[in-house]
Amino acid sequence: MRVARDRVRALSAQSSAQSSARSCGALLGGLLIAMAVTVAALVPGTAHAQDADAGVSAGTTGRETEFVAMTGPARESVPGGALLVSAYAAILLLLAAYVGRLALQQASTSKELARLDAALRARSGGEAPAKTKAEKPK
Amino acid sequence: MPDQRGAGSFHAVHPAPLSDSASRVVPILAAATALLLTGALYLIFAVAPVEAQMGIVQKIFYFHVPSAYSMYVGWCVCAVSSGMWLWKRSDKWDAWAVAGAEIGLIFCAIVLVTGPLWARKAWGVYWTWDPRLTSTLLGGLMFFAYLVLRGLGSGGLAERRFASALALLGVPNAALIHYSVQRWRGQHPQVISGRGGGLSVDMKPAFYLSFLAFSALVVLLLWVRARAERTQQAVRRLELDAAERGLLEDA
Repeated sequence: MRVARDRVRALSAQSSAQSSARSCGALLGGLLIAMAVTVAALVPGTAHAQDADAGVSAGTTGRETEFVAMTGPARESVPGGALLVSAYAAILLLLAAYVGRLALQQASTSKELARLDAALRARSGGEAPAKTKAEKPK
Repeated sequence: MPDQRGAGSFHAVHPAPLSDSASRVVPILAAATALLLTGALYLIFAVAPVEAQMGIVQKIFYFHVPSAYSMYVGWCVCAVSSGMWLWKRSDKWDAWAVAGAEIGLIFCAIVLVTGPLWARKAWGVYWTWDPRLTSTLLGGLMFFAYLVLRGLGSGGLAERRFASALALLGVPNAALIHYSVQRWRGQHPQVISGRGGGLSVDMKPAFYLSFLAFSALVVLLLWVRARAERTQQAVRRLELDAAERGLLEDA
């Protein structure tokens, strides 16, 4: 029993040492926020820089007030800016979703450890576990 | 039979707690990754020039190619670890295999989302059954099947063996993805490995920094995921063993 509780305590210590997972989660969260901010700051400017030409030409032809027949072969204009923003947003969302899933998984493991610890403590008469080195506040 | 094995065997059943040194390395690696990714984004959007023919949509390339490389890394880690698990039957290798499959699949999803967005501008369609696109999709489905298999049932030996074999089958497919363009002359560009003009000099810093950032990111994610899996394995075994000894009967 004592060995079992020691083992649970060791795993709890490991789990708190796995505050690395939490601190890493926080860092990864920071990473994703940094990416979001950089993308938000840099992409629209670049995207609009290209789309501006299209806007000017559309304005000069008076698209709102008249329809003019096209001369030469028909060409489809694909908005590169929107595609670029979509691509980087997708990367950000997929990575954020995965980091979030990792954090949930880690929370579930910590919960399971706490449940196991409580069950074993109740079984041994409720004596308080000694603090391990890793559990001591820094 | 609660105490048949004795308290001493508990240590034999469960491995020692994981090394704490990784706890110090991971935050440093995460901070370095954040810096590298931010620097790469700056170079991509503020320094690298717009491509003459495709326009700004070409900037997808800077994260698309490193994502594909990270996908290969994940799948290779999964395949090698699966092979090692089949040989050694060690839970450590099993944890790395699961981590590799998950990370590989995440980067595969990034490749399969960003690629079609680029293709819409470059080819006029989101998707075409090009050899490289098709083999990448096939690889993604294989590793998705691997994870579904691992999630089924109680993760028994049979499921793990079958999943490991599936992961090993992913290696020839990864080679197929890489060489499909040269072999079958698909539409997919070969800017990096082809014999054409390659990448403009001004575009190279952004590309190389993105590559470095994604290398750090894939190592970080693999490490964190494998460690989480190792902890889960230890908790599961501890719980099972405690239940077998009747220690959790009142819980």
